[in-house]
Amino acid sequence: MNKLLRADFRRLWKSKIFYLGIATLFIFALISTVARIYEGKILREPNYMTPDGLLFNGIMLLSVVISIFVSMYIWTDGADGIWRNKVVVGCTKTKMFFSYWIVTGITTTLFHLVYIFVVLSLSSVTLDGFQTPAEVNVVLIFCSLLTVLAINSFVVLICSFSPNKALCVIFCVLFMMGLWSVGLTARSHLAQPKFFAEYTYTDSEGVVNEIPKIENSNYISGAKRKIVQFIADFLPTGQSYSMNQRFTSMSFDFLIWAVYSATFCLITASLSFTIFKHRDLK
Amino acid sequence: MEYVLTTSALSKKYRKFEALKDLNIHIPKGAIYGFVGRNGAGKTTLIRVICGLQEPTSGEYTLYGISNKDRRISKARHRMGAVVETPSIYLDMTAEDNLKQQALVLGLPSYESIPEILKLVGLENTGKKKARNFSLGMKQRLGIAVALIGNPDFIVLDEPINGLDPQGIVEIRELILKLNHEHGITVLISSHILGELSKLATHYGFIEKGHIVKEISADELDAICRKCVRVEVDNTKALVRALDRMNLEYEIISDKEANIYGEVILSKLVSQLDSENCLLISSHEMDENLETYFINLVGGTKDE
Repeated sequence: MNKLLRADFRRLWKSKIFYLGIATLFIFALISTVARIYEGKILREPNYMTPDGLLFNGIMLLSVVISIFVSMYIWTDGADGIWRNKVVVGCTKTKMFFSYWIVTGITTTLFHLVYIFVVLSLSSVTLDGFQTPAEVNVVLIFCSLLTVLAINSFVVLICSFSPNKALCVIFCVLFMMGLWSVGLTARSHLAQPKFFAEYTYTDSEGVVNEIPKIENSNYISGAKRKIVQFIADFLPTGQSYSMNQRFTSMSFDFLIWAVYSATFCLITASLSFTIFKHRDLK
Repeated sequence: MEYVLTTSALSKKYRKFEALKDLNIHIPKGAIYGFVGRNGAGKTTLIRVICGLQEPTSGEYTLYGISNKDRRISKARHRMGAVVETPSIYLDMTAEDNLKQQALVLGLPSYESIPEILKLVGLENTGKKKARNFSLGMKQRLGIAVALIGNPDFIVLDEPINGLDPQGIVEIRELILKLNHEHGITVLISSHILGELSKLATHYGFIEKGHIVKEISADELDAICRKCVRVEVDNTKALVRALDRMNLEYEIISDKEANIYGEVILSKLVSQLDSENCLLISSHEMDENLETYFINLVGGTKDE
């Protein structure tokens, strides 16, 4: 296993897409922070004078970078026939994929940390301090790292059954967009209010009209709400959307997200190793 | 005789299609084993199975006496290298980097052997040239170098000369002969280019529709393919007496046929047979080579 890890890490340092990934997250972090500085300090928007909500802004772009990087990294070995070289000399397929899972997991975590580092560095000298307590931010950063690992694990699973390199990249991006759609749709359903508040308005003839409080037909409740809540919390995409909220204190949700991310990793990783183990290589 | 690889009733099915059917093969240690078959006969499938890329549907194979069902098979694989179909190389790396990668996978303690291997395959002067800029022959040789990095004593080459120019073919042939003669490496080489294979192989295995039709050594094949005159007579005992008088080497094939080797003057033979009251029914020259032997074999009976 160590031998495979050494070989895969060596290839990583020589890989152009690795440096491209770092550069992408670095530039996005710069742009995001500069945009926040402009909104907060130049336009004087009250909600944008602090870096709150910026730390986990990059996860959506990061998931696309992960999709492209991981699929190309793993499938370069597949397309160039390197899987054959490894299997012929006695490496098991499970160990091969486990090594990919570890190397890409560490790499994508590094991408996320680059983003966080740039945001923290730049915002600490340009913006006001966080409103979110420091310990909450630390816990959220830890949760976000697990979320990123879960996203990475999902992409590794897609790589395990893809037929070739080009289709793998396409599948990874499409499935990732699908995962975001499901996560965001679940969150938006949960965000629907139970009632639309009463309000009054004056029409063109000067008559004051009162609209009473009415029930929102789109509000979900009961068992359906629990299922949607579970989906929103279980999927890493649903979690990362919630992380951008402004938290003023610790929340039990953080523990739930961490456990769910770890479970998601376990399920997707096990599936990917099993699928690849039984795959006939050419 | 010691065998590096044997298979026992090995089969491989893809859904309903049987690519390998009860295949039995025996590769002697130190041989250059030529694996001969038509396109789609099952050569590459067998190679994929014995290299561990795919699992057999049934049957088993042993590598250095270790069964594929034994956990120790992965250790046995350290002694083999393979180039399956196309060379497995990183196109964005140099020749040296490719070998370093494989050396890491094998857990070799150092890169000391790399310059020697590059020199052996004739790629010592490629410097910083990336593999994507190599010619096909160079890529093929780099693939072989990668297979050699673990110092194997058994290498598998799947159609290594496909697509090569004459110069490339000669280079690969000379390399294979050098690996076998000077380094004692057993080679399994599959090909449908029989002329080239006949210059290399010490043993042959003929495959047709996923089944080994015949295994034969090069010496035995040479004996079979000797130029001769095949005669059909009505009395082989009389023929034998006549041929003994004429001091000709012969081989009785059946109760009516015989092969006569050496220079045969038919008129003299006829006169000798006349004296024995033996009728010469037919005669024709036979000059079989590997190609005609193979065509006759796969066009004939399925099993020996």
